[in-house]
Amino acid sequence: MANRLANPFAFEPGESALATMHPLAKLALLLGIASAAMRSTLGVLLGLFALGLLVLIRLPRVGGGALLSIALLAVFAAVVRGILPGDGRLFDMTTLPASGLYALRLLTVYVYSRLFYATTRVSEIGDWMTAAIRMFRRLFRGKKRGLRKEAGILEDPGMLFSLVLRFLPQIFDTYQRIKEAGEVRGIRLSRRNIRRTFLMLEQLIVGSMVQAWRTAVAMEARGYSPQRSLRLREFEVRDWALLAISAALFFF
Amino acid sequence: MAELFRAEGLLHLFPDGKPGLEDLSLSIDEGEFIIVAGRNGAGKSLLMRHFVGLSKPSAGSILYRGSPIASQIPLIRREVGYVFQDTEAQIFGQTVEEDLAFGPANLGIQGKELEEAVRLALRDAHLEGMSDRRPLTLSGGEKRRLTIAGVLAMKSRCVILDEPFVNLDFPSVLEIIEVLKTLRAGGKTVIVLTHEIEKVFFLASRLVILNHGRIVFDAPPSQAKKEDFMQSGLVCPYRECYPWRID
Repeated sequence: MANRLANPFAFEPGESALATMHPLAKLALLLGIASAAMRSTLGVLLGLFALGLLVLIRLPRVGGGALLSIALLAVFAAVVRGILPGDGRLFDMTTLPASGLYALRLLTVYVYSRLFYATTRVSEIGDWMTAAIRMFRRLFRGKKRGLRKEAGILEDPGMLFSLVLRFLPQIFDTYQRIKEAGEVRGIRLSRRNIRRTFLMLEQLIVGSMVQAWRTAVAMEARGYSPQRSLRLREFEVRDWALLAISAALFFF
Repeated sequence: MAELFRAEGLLHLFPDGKPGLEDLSLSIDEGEFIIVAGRNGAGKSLLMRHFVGLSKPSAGSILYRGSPIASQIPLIRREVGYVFQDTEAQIFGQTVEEDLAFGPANLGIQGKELEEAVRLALRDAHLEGMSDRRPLTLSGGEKRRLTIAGVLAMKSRCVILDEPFVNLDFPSVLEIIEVLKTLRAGGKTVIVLTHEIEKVFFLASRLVILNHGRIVFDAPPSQAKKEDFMQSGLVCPYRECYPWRID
């Protein structure tokens, strides 16, 4: 199994209340938060950040591990703004408070983005993308010419998107396996031995492609094709409430 | 029984020109329990990939329910379940229940019908009580049964199992055999691709042995002689072949 800290693409929505909410409502909330985070005062910003962080670290299978990446991103954003203040100088101590505020704005967006993908299934996002494309086709081509029977994956961006995101964790898994197999045979990925490192990278690419192909074939055998039925969650009262909050955050 | 698959003069050439399948003709009826046996590289999986439309023949034809396979793909996806060797590559859900719902939901099955399909698949694959388990926490045998349940949930009338016993310990092998018995009792067409024929020999109604991409034996298993197995590099399941066996 992949190292969860090393693999940021281990999409496994936890069993939280947010995981059962409509993805479009959550996306709207993310946009609302992003808009508010870029405009709000320090107090409001801190409140939004703390709330998001609290929900995030309480999520099953996310927990405290998320704090490390947040801390790293905070230091990076603040220091980069401080080192390069934008007026030609290399470092200006006085810009650090403003840099810190900027970092906090970014972190707030990051926390809610993380919250979105930690509570949303890749297939849900993919299905909504496909639904939007199908609707677009019906509007402009007519109902009968919605999607050809023999339509390929390239005509279904939602499917392409969810497959790519499904393969990413597998690449990390393959990397982990190849790394361990190399280590037990005394081979380490390093700049000192470029040839061996390239050999292992070649294995990684080939191994990932083979695994991705096997998965794609197995998915196709279970009816996952551009003609598949979409599983679209219906809007409930709480989703409408989330939309209202999002609109409030966006406009005020 | 109605004919399900028919291959006529099937030829599959690899890109280097070597034949994977050669002049192969085979017919499979509904309700049969067939072992397709052969050593590694004999062409078992390749043949089945042709049967489910995942590979295209270099020559020859394949029919499904009397019609060319190319026009029958949607029907095949509904009626024929393929359980691949690599279990990890075919588990898509975060819980057992979610994984079982993946296939039928893609086919448009929803609501109570979907719940019922999942419940029956759990029962037939002997996975009752595991619906909330995460697939990562299952044992090798349980994962294999989950992949079988995944195709059963799609209400497949024919199930193809590619090397179902590979990497399994003895209790897990017995569990898979129990599932196969359930499938046979349910009247499903079962095609088991394996070189471990001794494990399903007693269940099958027909044995097909492939060697170098050609069929070298096709009859009820009881008609197979010691030489038929030995010449194709297979384990002979008869007592006489095991002089060291403890009775």
